[in-house]
Amino acid sequence: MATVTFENVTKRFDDTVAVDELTLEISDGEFLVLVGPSGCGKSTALRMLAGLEETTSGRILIGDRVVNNLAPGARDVAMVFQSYALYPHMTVYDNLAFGLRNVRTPKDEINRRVSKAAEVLDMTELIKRKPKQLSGGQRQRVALGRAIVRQPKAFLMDEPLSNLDAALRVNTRAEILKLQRDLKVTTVYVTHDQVEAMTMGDRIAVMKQGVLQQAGTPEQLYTKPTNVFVARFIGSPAMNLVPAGFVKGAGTGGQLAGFRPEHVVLGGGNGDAAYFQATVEVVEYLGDEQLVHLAAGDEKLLAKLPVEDRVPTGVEQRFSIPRDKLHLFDAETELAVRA
Amino acid sequence: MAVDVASTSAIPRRPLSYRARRLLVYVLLVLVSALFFVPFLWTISTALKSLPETTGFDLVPDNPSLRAFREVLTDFNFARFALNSFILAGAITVANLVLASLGGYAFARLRFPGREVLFMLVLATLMIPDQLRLVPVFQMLTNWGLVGSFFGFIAIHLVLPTELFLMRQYFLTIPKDFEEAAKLDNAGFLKTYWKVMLPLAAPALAAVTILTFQGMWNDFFWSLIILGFGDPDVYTIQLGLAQFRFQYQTLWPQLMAASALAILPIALIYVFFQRYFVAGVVASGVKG
Ligand SMILES: Nc1ncnc2c1ncn2[C@@H]1O[C@H](COP(=O)(O)OP(=O)(O)OP(=O)(O)O)[C@@H](O)[C@H]1O
Ligand SMILES: [Mg+2]
Repeated sequence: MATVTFENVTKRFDDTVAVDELTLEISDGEFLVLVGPSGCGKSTALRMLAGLEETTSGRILIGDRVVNNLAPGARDVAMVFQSYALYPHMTVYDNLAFGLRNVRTPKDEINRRVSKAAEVLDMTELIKRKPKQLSGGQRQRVALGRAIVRQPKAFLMDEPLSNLDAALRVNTRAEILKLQRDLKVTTVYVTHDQVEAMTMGDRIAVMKQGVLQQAGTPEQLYTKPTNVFVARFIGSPAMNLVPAGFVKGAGTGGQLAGFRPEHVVLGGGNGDAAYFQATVEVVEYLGDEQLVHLAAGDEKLLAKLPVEDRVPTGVEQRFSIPRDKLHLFDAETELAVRA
Repeated sequence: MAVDVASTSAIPRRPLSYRARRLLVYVLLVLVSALFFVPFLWTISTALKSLPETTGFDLVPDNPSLRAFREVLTDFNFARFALNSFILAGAITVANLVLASLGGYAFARLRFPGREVLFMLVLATLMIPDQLRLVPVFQMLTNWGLVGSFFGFIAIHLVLPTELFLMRQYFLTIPKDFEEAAKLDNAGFLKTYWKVMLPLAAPALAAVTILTFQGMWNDFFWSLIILGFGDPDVYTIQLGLAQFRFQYQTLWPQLMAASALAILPIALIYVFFQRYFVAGVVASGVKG
C-alpha cells in the first residue's frame, strides 16, 4: 500500500496531448476515480502509472519512489484490463499464479494466496476452468483475483465493468468497493460513467481533453463544481445552464446560471429563491418522480419534480430554485463565480 | 374428423423451392468433390493393376493385386526415401516453428530501426522464383561442400518467408493486452513469448506445421538440385518416385503405389492438426 502521485505529468502522442500537466495526489488506501468523456486521457494516465506508456514529462511516484523509469513489473501495481486479458490457455488457477511464479514465490505460498483469493471472490469451484468456460461476470472476478493475489501497492482498473450487463454492473460495483475497503489498497479506477464515479469514488478526478478539471469528493463535485464542464458532467440528468438574466434574482449579465433538475421547485419564487417562467413541453413519468421538459424562449430546461405536482403540458408556469442551489459561472471563462 | 392432427400441429415444412435448391447445392458439391477425388481413385486403381492393363481406361482392375505395393516396399528403397524425407521435412518444420515464430513476433512487436525495410525484403524474396536462385544457391552450397548433404537442404529452408509472414500476421491479430498483462505479471520478453504468445498463436503454429511439412515432403525441385546427383541413400521420397520413370518406360503400378503411400503422412498430419486450426482460442480470453 502506498500513495500515488502525479507531478506535472504530460503525455504527447505525435501532436495530440493525451495528458496535459496532470498533478494529482492519491492518498494511501484511497479509491480514486478518474472520469471524463471518451478520449480525455484517462486510460493514458493510468497506463503511464502502470508503466505501459512512457511519460513525455513530469514525475510519477508510488510511495516516495519515482517510478518513471521502472519496468511495469517492478512497480508492484496490479491492473484490471477492460478486456480482462485473461490468458486463455491457462486455467483460472494458473492465471492467478502466473505473476507469483514469475517472482519465484514458494509453491505453498502461491497455493495459499490463490485459494484465499478464490474464496474471497467466491470462485473456488471455477479454479480448474479455462477462461472460455466462464461467464462474463466470472471472468471479471478472475481478473480481480489476478490483481488481488499479487498484494500490490496499488490496483489500477480501466473500465473493468464495461463488458458486463447493467444489473451485473451494479452488483460488481458494490463487490469491488467492498473488496477495496477490506484490503485497503490504493486504487485508481478509470471510467467514463459519472454514476460509477459518484457511487464508487472516495474522490473523483474529472478530466477533459487531457486536462484535470477538478478533483474532490463526490459531494464537492456535486455541490461545488469549479467550472461548467464539471457541473454538466457530474449529476444525472445534467445541470440546466442558462444565461443568468433568464433567472430572476440570479447573477448579472456575462454570467451563466446553473441549477440541477432535482432542485427545481414548482411555483414559489418568494423570499430566498430565484425563479423563472417556462412552458411544460413533455412530462416523463418515472414512478416516484417525473421528469419535466420545459421551454422558455430558446432555452430548454429540465426539472425533476415530485409526482404530486400537477404540470399539464402546454401551460406556462413559474418555477423556482432555492438560492443555495444556484450555481453561477463566468460566461467567458466558464469558471464558477460563486461557490 | 379427417383432419390429421399431427400434421397441423407439427412444425410446417420448409417450402418445396427451398428444399429443391438445397438438393441442387448438395448435388453440385458432391460432383465437385468427386471431381477432386477422381485422380486419387485413379492412382489407387492403377496401383492395383498390372502394367499392361494400365493402358486401358477401366477404373476397376480386372485382377486387383497388391504386387506393386510389395515391390515398392522391397525392391525399391522406399523406406529409406521416406525416412530421408521425414528427417528433412521434420527438421525444417521444427526450425520454422522456432525461427519463423520468433522472427514473426519480432516483426510484429519489437520496434527497431529498419524494421519495415527488412520486412519488405523478406516479402520481396517471395517474388523471386526458385529457378532464378538456382545457380547462386547451388554455387554457394558447392563452396561450402553442402551439395549432396542434408545440411545443405535444411540450411536453405531454415526460415521460409511464407511462414515468417504468416506468423507475423497472426501475432498482429493478438491484442496487446495479453503482453501488457504479462508485463505487469513480471514476465520478461522471452517468458512472455514462450508462455503467453506462443500458446495464443497455436492455430498459426498448426498452420505452419502443415504448410512446412507438406511443402518439404512434396518438394522435388531443391531435392533434385541438392540431393539428386550422387548417392541414392540421400534421395527423398519425391526423387524416389521419379525412379519409376525410365527413359522409355514408366512403371505405372509401382509409381502409383508409391505415390499413394507417399500421401499418407500428409493426410495424417491434416487429420491430427486440423482441430488446432480452430481459431477461437484467442477470442475467448478477450471480452465477455
Ligand atoms: N498509442 C497512441 N497513439 C496515438 N494516440 C493515442 C494513443 N493512445 C491514445 N491516444 C490518444 O490520446 C488521447 C487519450 O486517449 P485515452 O485512451 O487515454 O482516452 P480515454 O480517456 O481512455 O478514452 P476512452 O474512454 O474512450 O477509453 C486520445 O485522443 C487518443 O486518440
Ligand atoms: Mg480508455
